[in-house]
Amino acid sequence: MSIELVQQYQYIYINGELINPALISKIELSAGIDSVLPTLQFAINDTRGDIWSTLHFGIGSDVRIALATTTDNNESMDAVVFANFCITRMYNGHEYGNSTLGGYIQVWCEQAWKFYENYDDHAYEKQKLGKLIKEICSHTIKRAHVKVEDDNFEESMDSGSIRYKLSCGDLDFITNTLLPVTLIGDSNSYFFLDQYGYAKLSSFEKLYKQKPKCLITPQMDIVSDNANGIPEQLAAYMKNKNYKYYIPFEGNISNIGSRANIDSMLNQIYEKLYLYDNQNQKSMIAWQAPALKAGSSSAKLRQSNIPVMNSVLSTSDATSANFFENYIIEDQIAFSRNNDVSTNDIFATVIGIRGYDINLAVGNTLDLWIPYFKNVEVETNPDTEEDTRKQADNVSIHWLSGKWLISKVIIKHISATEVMTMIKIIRPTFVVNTKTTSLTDVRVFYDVEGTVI
Amino acid sequence: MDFIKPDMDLHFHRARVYKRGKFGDDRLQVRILPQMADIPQDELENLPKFPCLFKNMVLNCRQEATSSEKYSTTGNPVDGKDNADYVCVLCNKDYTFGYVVCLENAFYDYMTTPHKDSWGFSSIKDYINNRGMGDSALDYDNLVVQAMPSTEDGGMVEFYNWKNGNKYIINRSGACIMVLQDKVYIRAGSPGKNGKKNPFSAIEMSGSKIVIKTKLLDINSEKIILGHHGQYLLGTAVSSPFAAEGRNFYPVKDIAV
Repeated sequence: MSIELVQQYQYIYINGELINPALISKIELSAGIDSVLPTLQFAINDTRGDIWSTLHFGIGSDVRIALATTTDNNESMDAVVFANFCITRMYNGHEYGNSTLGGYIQVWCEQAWKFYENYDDHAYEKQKLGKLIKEICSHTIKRAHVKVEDDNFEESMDSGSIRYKLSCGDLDFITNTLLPVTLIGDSNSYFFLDQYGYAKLSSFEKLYKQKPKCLITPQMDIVSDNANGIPEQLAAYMKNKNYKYYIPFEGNISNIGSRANIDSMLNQIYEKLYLYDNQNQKSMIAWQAPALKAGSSSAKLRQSNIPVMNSVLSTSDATSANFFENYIIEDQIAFSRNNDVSTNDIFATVIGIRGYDINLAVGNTLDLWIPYFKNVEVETNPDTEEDTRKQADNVSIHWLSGKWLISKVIIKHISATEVMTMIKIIRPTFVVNTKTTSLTDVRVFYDVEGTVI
Repeated sequence: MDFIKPDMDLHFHRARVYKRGKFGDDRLQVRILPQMADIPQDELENLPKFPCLFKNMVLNCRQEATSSEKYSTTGNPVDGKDNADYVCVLCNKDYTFGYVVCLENAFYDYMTTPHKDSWGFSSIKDYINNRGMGDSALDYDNLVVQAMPSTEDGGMVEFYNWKNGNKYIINRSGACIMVLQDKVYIRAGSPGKNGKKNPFSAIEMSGSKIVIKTKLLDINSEKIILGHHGQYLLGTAVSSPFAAEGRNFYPVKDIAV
């Protein structure tokens, strides 16, 4: 069955005081694997200017946001409490006129660590960088509200080194000094706080390897339900994968190629690297192509082809060049691999979901199940002009189906009792079952494993 | 997220020497200032260790960490925070890769304050002129000082005249080597001041003569030629004059063979 989200109430507390939910609008809570800290934005409808004229909160005020979910009969209510935030900015457009200075008080917030960084200086003893990052997170200032759990910190591959945290905050030190030289597995590293405030250190590879936490499918209007009202193929899939429910999505956009920075992505498709090992006084020239894959490929299952034409890499000298120097060679190699981030979201899909599910945490994986119907017949009702699709034969799976990593989550206010979740999901390569997937031949695309079908 | 390539440049910093190098590891351990001023005491052993930038150069000096080293003349400690030397280091922005370039002077305010560690030009000029080793171009403006360490146990100054190429190395004990355009002067010991006479030895060598001043000239050589007269110096076991074959022989008592 699909989840029955009927009402989701949003509660916002500023300095511990509940703001009347009826006055709250435009909530937007956002978290991403590459934005480090979650952010929150909302507006308070201050019609008469009462709040603005007796302002008792400001920059640095504590903000908590909770989401309470009820079902149809309001028998029970499950509450989700998100990360601790602090106000960073406020704005009032005085939409209700100059007489009262009433208007929408727009409030921007960042997770509390932004305000409460630890500025102690340290010459940390020799240790692996992953361990050091966890140690720093464990010693954050209490008011930063950073949640640390062992399972959220992966071990790094480096041999261990002394590092200096000087004249900077702990968050800045992790993201700007340690993370660029931290290698976890064979892919670039990520450090971020999810929307619940849990700190996570991992690599794209390790994040992507997690078991999917939920099943997402399109809102289907195909007339072929089983007894539970679930399309037969989906029911079979859920049984096979042991999913208790699915989350229908309403709209999606899929994209191939970096939307954020085309130049950066193209540069990283085939990089020429110049490295210098100062200890052995050796120069090294190397070429780096994307190495990240959804999994190993076999004759039946292709998971290592990126959507870049083979011909680009086979005929191009390079798409960019970079040099690294004045660091130990281990750091230079980590720099070069961590440099390779813009190709991680070479496949990206943005999905809109009515409501919010607790498993839609940034950094989790989900299972996207999209059937591909051949020969679908569409009948239009002449009275209502509504289309009805009738399933024809031969259902296969769309190549967009499979496991995806949630790289960004935005929870948006629709009304006082309703929210919408926008998620950006990414994966590095095609995931194609040559027997059942709509896309059967990926041989024209570059194989990061270099295997031949 | 776009990867921002880190700053890979090396930057100059001032640092206090925390620990000297040791046999087998010539690197200096340094505390870069002011960035490392607030490092906890129990983490100081993790301060960066950098080698000298220039190959075949080893720099050792006074350190911040206390040690048992004392000056032999005064018994005062050599090391400690107030005594430590400062060096100029060149390292990356993360302080994980770098070099020690050289010992570093204190920086003085713009234009107005004289350099308190300025070298003793006038006394050194007098010293040189009193030995006839000065030259017409021995002027402050013409001299390049290459080293002038000074501690409670001693000191030295090494400099040259960029105008005429004369070179001077003078130890505080009085020993010196001066390589001039027309002569070379080497001296060990100091003659003393105010009528006090100390033993010393000096060699002054010019194109036409060598003047040796010393209490005792001990030449350990199998063959010595004094002038080219075709005759031999006669040795005798006695110190008194004696006659032989109708000739009188007078031993030179100050030359022993």
